[in-house]
Amino acid sequence: MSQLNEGKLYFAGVDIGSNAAKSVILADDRIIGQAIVPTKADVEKSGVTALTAALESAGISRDDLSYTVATGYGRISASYADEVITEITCHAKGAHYFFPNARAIIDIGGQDSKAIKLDSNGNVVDFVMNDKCAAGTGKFLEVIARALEVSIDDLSRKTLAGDYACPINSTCAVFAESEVISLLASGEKEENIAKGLHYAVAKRVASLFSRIGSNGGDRVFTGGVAKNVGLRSALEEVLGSTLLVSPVDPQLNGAVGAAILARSNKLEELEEVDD
Amino acid sequence: MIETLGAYDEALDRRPDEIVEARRNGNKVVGIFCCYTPVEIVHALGLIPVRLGWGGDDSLAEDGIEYITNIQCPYVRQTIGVFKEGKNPYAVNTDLVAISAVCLQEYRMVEVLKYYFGKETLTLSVPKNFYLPEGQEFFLKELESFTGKLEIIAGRKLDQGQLRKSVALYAEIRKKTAELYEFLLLDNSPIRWGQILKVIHAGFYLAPETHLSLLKKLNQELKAKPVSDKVKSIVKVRLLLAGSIIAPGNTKIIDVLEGLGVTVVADDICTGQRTFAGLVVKEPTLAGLAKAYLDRTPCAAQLYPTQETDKRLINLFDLIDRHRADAVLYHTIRFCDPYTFRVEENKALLDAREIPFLQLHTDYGVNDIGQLQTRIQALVEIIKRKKKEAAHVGSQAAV
Repeated sequence: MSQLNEGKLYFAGVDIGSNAAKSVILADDRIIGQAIVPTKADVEKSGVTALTAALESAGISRDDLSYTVATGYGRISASYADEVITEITCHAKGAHYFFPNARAIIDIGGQDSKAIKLDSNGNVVDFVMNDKCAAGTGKFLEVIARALEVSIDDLSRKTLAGDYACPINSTCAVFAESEVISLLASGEKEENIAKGLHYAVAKRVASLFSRIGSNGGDRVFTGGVAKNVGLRSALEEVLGSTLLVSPVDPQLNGAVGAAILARSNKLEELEEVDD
Repeated sequence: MIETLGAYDEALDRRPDEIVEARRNGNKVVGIFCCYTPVEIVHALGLIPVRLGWGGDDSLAEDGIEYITNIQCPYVRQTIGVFKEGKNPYAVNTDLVAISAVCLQEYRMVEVLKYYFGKETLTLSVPKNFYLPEGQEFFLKELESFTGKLEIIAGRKLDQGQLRKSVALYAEIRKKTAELYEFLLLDNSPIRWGQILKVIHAGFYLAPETHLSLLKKLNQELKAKPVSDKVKSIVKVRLLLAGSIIAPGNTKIIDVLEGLGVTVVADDICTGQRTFAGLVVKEPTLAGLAKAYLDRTPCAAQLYPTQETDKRLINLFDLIDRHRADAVLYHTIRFCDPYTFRVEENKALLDAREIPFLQLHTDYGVNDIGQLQTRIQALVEIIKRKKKEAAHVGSQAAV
């Protein structure tokens, strides 16, 4: 009897980002385990920690896994993985899993932001990434939140309470921080500054979207920053369209895609053996 | 293992001493910038030509900031940094810096070399209307004036017989370099693109006679190598690299590509395939050189009025077809405006032909290597998937 007919198969996806390592476990095509842990200096260990936590939440062990795919910037240090695939391909698969009509993704992570165009099968057609600086990324929002002495969540909520988007000229993390301090000194409300900051980031990220062009269908917002309701609202306004966010934590989207690719690549391999 | 590449390394090791010795004997070294400077004239006058310009060292590029700002091309900044450091044997032993004024930043760099480092310089103006008869007439006059000034440095008049020999010598070098690139047409090339680039860069410094002799030997060695008939099961992705200058020393992109196991099958850069692309000197005279150099596949700083007549684009599409490139990597150095200006145009034209295009905008720092790897690997994943799908459709059709 071939492995294909032996019953339930388990697959893992591990996405090691600059801020967090995420892992998702699939039983066939159903999510049964997940975990998000901070990425530490030992990138390999962070991936293993996330994978172990996800396995625990699924109630299975590493020996039960048929195939593991690692993604994210830490994918190069993932000796536990059977295959490494870029987060661009994984995010496309993850978004397609939740939203089969998804044709474009905006992903904002800790250190970069990307716009990805995909086809009806969840395959990447085109993509663009931000430049190497932190402008328009989770890191940028972290720096600004620190300058305002609020948490990221509070920064996000303040946006919704803003009267107007106070113009922020710089999306460079360094220059924007000093601009924010000047605005505070001049008596501007924190809520208006927060709204202005999110609009500045939204405009920058929206320009990535314009570079890949539209091919209809749904637009999906993924990555840790997709949890930021202030930015999501600003992005929707700038883009003039609704952004879908996955029903599970959007920060897990890359790991979900990695697990789906683990499944499809393993099944393809098994089918070849069976043939 | 390619033995002739070792011979190149040995020749390069010897070359600084040879140059010092030649200067001691009264010969003069002309440091050339930009591939629009006719090297044949320099050689025919008995001067020693070396092509200058360096990249890949962020620390030296930082040194250049003392003379130009940090929002200028890192290649230009580094080259100034090399002259400031005063250790590079080719920079140190250059008696005259000759530049063809195509790129504004490079032109300013030569001004800096003159003003701050006391280098004697000579500028050859290259017209922007190079495709018109009046542009060609202007360039011929410039070339005559340029030659006159070089004659003073050389202490002799340009001899027509010697010019004929120099034209023939460099034509042979270009032919043999083109032959070297032909190996990249093969599925299992015996030489990698990164190695070919190193050979071309070696030719910037070596005596042309030595370079030609080694090129011939290299081509013979590669032709004699047994071709592997082992068909690899993995899907190979063939990429073309276009864009900004990749100067000697700048191995960043090459290292990233080779680290990912990516195969580059052609390039469209002025320190690679464009050193010879479309450059055919039909008549060994100044008029013949003026025509050939203006008619060559141009730098992006030289603009054609229409896309249809733009020889750079024509050459790019020809390379994609001939070398069966799956996609174009368009490498732009930060603040290299001529090539960055062309990104959207190139992308749109390639999109229309369904050829994937990826811009790699970078400098000599190392902090974006992870990002570059992700972008290139993602492009490779797209192409591999498409190839697998096409193969699957093909096999089903066969059934």
